Amino acid sequence: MSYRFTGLQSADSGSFNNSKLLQIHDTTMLTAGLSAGILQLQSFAGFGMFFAVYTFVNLLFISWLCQFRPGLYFSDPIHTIWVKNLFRELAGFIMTWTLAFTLVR
Amino acid sequence: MLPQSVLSLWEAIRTANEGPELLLDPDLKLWALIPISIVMILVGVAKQCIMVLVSPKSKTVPRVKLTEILYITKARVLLGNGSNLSSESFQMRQEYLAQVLSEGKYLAIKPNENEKAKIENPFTNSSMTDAMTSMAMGNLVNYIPQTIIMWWVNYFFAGFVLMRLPFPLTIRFKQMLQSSVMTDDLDVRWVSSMSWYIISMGGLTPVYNILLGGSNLDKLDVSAQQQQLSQIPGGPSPQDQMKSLANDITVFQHVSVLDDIEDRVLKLYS
Amino acid sequence: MSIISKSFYLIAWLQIIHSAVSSFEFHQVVKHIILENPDAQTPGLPVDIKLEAICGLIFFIVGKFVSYSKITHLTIRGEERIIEANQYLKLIALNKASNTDVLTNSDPYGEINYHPAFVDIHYKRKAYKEYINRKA
Repeated sequence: MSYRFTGLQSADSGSFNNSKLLQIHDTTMLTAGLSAGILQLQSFAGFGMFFAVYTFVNLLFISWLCQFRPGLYFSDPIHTIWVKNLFRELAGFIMTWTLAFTLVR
Repeated sequence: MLPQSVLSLWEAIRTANEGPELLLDPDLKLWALIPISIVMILVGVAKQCIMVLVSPKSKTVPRVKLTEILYITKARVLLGNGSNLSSESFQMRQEYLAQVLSEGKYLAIKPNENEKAKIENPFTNSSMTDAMTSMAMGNLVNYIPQTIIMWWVNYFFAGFVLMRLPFPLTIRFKQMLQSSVMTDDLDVRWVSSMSWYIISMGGLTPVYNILLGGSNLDKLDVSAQQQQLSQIPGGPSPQDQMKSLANDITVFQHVSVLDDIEDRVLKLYS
Repeated sequence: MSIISKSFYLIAWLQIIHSAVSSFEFHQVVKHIILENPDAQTPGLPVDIKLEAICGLIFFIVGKFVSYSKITHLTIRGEERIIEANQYLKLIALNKASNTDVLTNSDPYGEINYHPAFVDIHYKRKAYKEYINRKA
């Protein structure tokens, strides 16, 4: 266990930024699922839309809220922005996708 | 086993075999799909409220215990960052900490000479039992509604095809997703209400985050941090830790960054 | 910011709901066609419904991003003023993050710094006594 006081990170800021990112991911991906269901996308098209919207939202997040410097706000930007919430958002997307897909038909 | 299932899934996706189109009663949506969704969301919200009510008010660490932990941390910090101190101030701290730690002056539980050191039973510690009760309550609150909803869905909404999934699945899922539908050769995409329950189980986490504002997560983080402060059962006893740290500090070779600082600064600006 | 994002949300939801209803009605018509003539070629979803659903999603995403404004801090002790930071998120590096704490006069470690063991209690008592005497 090392106790060197260099490169310290603020846990407060970290959780603040993470909650902002999580909120953006949750709301946008649930809505993306709704539109995927309305568009009646099936199998690959639907998952393709998930990844397209996920990429779009992440690029928008990096360029708009992070001002192209995600390293200032996250200790591990790529992992936090792209991987950490992926399966949670995929599950939410599938749920709203299935719901809208069924309700619309 | 795995490659075969992956292959068959790939085959199912590639061919996109749609099978026969079924015409479902639109009332199924109104009387099965929407009630299940509403009940699941409401139960999730109620679960969160109960969790907040059940969770212990505030976890505290006794002051002596805190002093003990902080002194161990102080010794480690001195070993890690001691080079930033001048030789005199390091020596001062070195002597003091070595003495205090080897004496065991700030141990929370002073060892008895007559008695052998016993391994502490985690169940006798009051703060530990508190944490365990709250954990058990949390588990109960998590599992009881899950079982009840599962039974409810299985009992009231069994025996019909509710919806068609927008993505294909392998034949393996047939048993799980078409549990109460008595057809052998129906495409796996047509699923019963149980599968809507399963899909919502996974997908409702973001919905709760939006509905409840995600404020509960922060509280959990704080309690997790405080948990870290208290000692892990089974680790080395604080007395042993202090003894070994005292040894380390006594033999530590100190090199200060401030040695010959004047010469180096002069050289830098000459 | 809030009014702009809310109007974006409104447009987004109107579009999504409208496209959902249109899509629903379209599928009802398709079902009738199939019931009357099972061999009929079913048309795909009309382009305007598709565009509406995608447009609604894009409006929603933009509205979500617009709803975040740059962080402002209000000083806690001393003179009250608003400090504006040129960023939407909080900086992760501890030295930068504690800069804002210093600017707002906030002490995140107050529970330790003002712990009785770290406070000169005799001085405090004396100051309090003087204050009482001056009042009397």
